[in-house]
Amino acid sequence: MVALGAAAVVCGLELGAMEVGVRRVLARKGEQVVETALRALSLGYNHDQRPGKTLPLPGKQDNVWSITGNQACGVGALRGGVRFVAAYPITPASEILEWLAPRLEKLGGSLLQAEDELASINMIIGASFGGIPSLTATSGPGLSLMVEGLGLALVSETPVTVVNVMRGGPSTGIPTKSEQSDLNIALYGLHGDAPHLVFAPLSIRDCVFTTQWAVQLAEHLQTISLVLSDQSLGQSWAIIETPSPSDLPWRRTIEESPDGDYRRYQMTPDNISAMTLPCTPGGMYTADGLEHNARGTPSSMAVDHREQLNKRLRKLEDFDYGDDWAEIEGEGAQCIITWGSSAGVVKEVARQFRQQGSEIRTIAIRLLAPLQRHALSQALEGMKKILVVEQNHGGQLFQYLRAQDVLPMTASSLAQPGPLPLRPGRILRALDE
Amino acid sequence: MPVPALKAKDYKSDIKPVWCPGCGHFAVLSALTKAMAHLGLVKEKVAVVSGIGCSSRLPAYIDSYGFHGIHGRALAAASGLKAARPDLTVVVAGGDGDGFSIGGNHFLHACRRNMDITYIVMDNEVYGMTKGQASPTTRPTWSNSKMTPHGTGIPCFNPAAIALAAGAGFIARGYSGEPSEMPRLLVEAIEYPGFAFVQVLSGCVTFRPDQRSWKEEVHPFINDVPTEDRIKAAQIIQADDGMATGVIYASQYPVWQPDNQKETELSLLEQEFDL
Repeated sequence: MVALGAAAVVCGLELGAMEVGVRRVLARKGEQVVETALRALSLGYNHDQRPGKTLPLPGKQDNVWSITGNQACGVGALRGGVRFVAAYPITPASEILEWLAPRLEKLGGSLLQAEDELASINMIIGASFGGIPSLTATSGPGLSLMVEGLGLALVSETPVTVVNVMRGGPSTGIPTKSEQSDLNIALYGLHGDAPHLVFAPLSIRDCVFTTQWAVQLAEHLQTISLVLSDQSLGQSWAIIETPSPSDLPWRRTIEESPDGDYRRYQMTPDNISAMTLPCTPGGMYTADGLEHNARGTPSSMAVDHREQLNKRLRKLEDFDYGDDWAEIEGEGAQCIITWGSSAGVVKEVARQFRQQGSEIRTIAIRLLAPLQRHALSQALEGMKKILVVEQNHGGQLFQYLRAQDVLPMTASSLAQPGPLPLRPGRILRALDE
Repeated sequence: MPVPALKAKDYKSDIKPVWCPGCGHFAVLSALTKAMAHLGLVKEKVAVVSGIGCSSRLPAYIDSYGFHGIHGRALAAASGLKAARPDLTVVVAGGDGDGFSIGGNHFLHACRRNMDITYIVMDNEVYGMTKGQASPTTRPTWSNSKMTPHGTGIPCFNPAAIALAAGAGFIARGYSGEPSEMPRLLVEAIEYPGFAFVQVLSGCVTFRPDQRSWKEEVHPFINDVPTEDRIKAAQIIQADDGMATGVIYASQYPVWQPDNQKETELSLLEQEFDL
């Protein structure tokens, strides 16, 4: 209570308002408790050593939102057109689902609480097959259970999006604390040759855009999108600049009046084949997790396998993702590469660096797969020192960039696992090493 | 000019089944197309969903929309599809391993969720596609599988009893060797408003040639069926030898479907975040 009183001074809150709050919270514990608490509160508030610097509350402002990362993912999903969600509760992703459930209903959609994650991924695949943009949200253990379903969506070219709010892993791990350790499963978890999309929002505000982008690209490219948020983004509140409505053009290509010879997996210049939806006469086909030919008929012929593997790869590799694949800031001969939520602390490091009159470049990767190798290599040109910063134990991004042959041998890795957050001081020291 | 009514063969696709000659599933496919013709279903408004296994190859053989998913998850995919597209007639087809072993949890919850879906399980008491292993409905002493050389030693799964306990409102058993009875069962199941479960004894000629004797073993229920009484249904199912055919239980439970009338715009919902 004493600390609360002191904190109220720092935040510029009035003692009277604090007293009302304390009374309300503690009323059921009896008058004696309330009186003691109020005395302690007053002690802290009226302490002689009042802090010189205060952090005034922002007050009523235009064009700002008060929101958590999980809610922001929900907003992005709805903006992207998601109208069906099936999911199983899991920490720290449940708030996405709890926020979406009543709001989906009001928008004519629905959320179905599934019996497990195996069901939730297959339910959204079913709904998406029916033409409704669909999504699920989960965390590491749930993602592990969904992986077989993701392969099915990928091969049947049924678009779905999974928001994976990362927590300490592996196994049950540290469910309530943040870690960026699911990059490997997101990139490599599927069996077979299974190229797909992997995204990571760079801030609470960016959860809106990145989720919307992921949903719409999954729809447009008829593939799966994995969005790697984490506990630190998902469960933190922030006041953010209102995300401007972004009307992304990407939509699913629907064939509404197929001619007599409809082929679901027809080869096309951009490798995206128009999809018919149930109830469309003349467009009937059976979607399949079995390898298939252009018509969708199961096939184990080498020529069909090669053609469809190429199709599923090329549609992703040849697509123009524009400049949103990363946020690149600053100049100089030193560079920090990071991804997802670690972008926050990396930007703080860059700010401190520049305050001291030094130059540094930061590259925060939003689109992890397919990796924009050419653009990344360009951004790294002339760099004498490169540090890859991430919150996991194995240096998963570092290893990935190495495997993709975009890092010079002098590049180094700062990989610190959760649950402790990465601090600017640790990164500054690593740059000096 | 009225469109001429479709015949059963019009509901068959031009893809040739992978099934062994003499497989019971041919008769189930045939019965399903007869039921569809009888009901006059519009082909493109039907979706047939399945998992993995011999019987799960069925969707491609029907001229409608189909989804051949992964092992055990057919009911989940079908539930998502029906939730998102209530205008479709959704039929799920699969086998005993797909439905009762790897997909057992979805079976329980699909019964309980009671969406308007028809679930046909072609039960041959064996994993045929993987060449003859014991399934949940295999008798404990069946020792012809190399994987369980002494038999499983485990009592069989009783699909009807479990469907009843899990809350299914329509439970029937058919035999693929009853070509006039099977379409009737499937018509009733598809017409039933809710989750309709049909276990079809559909023999495997390759790995269970002993099932040829089913022809002599199947019989009608000795009790009056169907019953609407859950307790009676439980008694009938428990007293039965597993070879009686017919609709066992037909009752009414509330059908689950999302309740979602569009009433607002996203931009209005987003105002909740304004500070």
